[in-house]
Amino acid sequence: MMQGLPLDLIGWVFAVTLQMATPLVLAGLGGMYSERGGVVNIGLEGMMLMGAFTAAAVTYYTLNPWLGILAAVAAGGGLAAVHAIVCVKFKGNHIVSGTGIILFGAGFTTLMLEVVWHRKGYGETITNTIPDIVIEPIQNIPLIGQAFGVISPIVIFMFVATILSWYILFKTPFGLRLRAAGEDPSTLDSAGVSVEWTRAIGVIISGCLAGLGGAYLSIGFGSAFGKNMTDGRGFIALAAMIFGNWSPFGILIAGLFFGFLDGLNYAIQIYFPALLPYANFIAMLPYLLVVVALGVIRRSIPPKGIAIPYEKERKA
Amino acid sequence: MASKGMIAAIVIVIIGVAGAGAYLIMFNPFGPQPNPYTVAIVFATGGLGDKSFNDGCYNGAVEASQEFGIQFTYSEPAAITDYEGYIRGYAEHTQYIEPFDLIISVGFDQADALMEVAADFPDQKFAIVDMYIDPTNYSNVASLLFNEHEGSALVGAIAGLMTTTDSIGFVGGMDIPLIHKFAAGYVWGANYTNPGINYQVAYTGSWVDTAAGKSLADGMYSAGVDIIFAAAGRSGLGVFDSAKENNATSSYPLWVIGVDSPQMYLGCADPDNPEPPTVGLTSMLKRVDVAVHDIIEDVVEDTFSGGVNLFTLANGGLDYEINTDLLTLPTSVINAVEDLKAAIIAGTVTVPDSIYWS
Repeated sequence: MMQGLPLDLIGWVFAVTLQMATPLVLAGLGGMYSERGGVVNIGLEGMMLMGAFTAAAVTYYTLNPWLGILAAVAAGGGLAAVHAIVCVKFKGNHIVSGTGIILFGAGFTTLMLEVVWHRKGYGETITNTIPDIVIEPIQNIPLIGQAFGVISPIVIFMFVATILSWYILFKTPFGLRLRAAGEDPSTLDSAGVSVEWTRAIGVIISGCLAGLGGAYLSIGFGSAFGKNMTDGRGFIALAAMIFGNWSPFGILIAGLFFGFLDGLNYAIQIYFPALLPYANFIAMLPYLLVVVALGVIRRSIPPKGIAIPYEKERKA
Repeated sequence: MASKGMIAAIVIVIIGVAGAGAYLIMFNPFGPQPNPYTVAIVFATGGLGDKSFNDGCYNGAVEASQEFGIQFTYSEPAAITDYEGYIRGYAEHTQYIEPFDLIISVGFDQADALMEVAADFPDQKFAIVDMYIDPTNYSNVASLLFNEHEGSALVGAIAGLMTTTDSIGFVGGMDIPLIHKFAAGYVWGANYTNPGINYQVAYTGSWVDTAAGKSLADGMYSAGVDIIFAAAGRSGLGVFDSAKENNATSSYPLWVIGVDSPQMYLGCADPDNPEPPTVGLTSMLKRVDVAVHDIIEDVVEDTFSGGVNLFTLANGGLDYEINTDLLTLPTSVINAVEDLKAAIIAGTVTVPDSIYWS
């Protein structure tokens, strides 16, 4: 049974696409900063949880969602700084450290949830979340009205962050240094730039963006923090980063594509009940398509120096 | 070269550790202690705080502990693979002299783990919520089962009468037989009071993804559905979010039906100080608290028996929520639902317990 016009349906799918893509793209861009600098960051999930929790907790106490966003960015960056110290300063194994970050993020936020709200599993509802921006002129335009007419500032920031990341990465000295740190750190070192600091800054930026992605889930789109509420999105963000070939616009497109598949899945469930027995198959499609795309269509090329701790004057 | 002071420090540490070890071996203050607990509960992976299923079991245990003056302990496994370790740990009771009188497994997905342990400890009493375990092989296991389709039929009947768009929705957690019981009863009940009503059924695929629940609900409401029954654990809380937001701009009222526990208060603007209005129409009450309370009572009064303990509309294991502080349903609706309830209890109508359409 379909009451809305097909245009409304497509418009709604677009809206879901943006909602589901935003945390993926933000965390994926974060992962890019880290990995372009040569540090593998599988800890995005932990940093997102940290951001989601901090945003909700700070908003709960201060009643100001913007302070919550700031705190989430800081908390994600703080957790990433730990990763940076372990991986860059002490040259630890990136995967082990990243796993530790995930487990710490999940455990710490679950514990603090009880400390802050005195209950388990799900925090109190945050009544003053980030307000949506209403753009009246386009609200009633078919197709895009639903998606862009009422839009969260964080969704807008997703697009801004993508363009900004492209500019930083390819048009600024810092971007050049960051890419050099990942591709050929000894050259960067001989140019007199600290590889360690460049890499550390990249990792910390990644935590900030992942924290913001988590905050979108708790006080942007949602209205409370729940235990493990990111539900694996940090890992999907990693997939989006690889699918997007470590480039800002690639990650944006990959994230939007994954979000679109979510929207498609929901639309099929709601509007085409005849296909319902295959709902689980449809939910699997994004992962299947990624494997197909990576394996068949083109290979992704990671930075050359990735996961290799930089040591001065090491014989190659 | 280590200095003399360093060597002295090391010797002192060694003597200290050895002394502590000798003390432990001789006096053993950490060995088996008297067991202060009567009951041990292993919760489902969703954990406490889902405001429905696990919390309901917890409340039942708290009630029983106050009523019978017993203590209970519990654990919250993080993954399905952890279940057996916890259940076996309680069954072995290595830190206590006496065993637990009863070990309760919460959730259908603990069945395999429980059967493994129950076979090894035939004298230990077990109970499992939401799953059938064959008593001929496992006579020490009580299966606490519910006729969820009967309770769902009641809230479906309310939805059928209260809808203004003749279109209702169902958001389930996973596409599995247990959740199909909810969906089937709900759609059947709505058709009972409103024959030929339109319905939509969708699943989030996760019990914790509130964002998915919210997006699905957004889609259903924009497709003309005005009442959604959310049987999806914490994902269902996203449906409440969606209803509150969309209700502000909708020309007709939008509603949510809660699940397992009384959830109407979640539909208020501030659930911590519930005041009308609420978007919560009613809730399907699956009284897991009654089930847990009753099975503990059986153990305390020594009337425990393995096999199926079925909870139905007739014995109060299922019901629907009425909260007149927040919302008063029309008398005609209440009467119709009570008639249906009486008919189901009397056995004059039978509610299907699996998807009966295709």
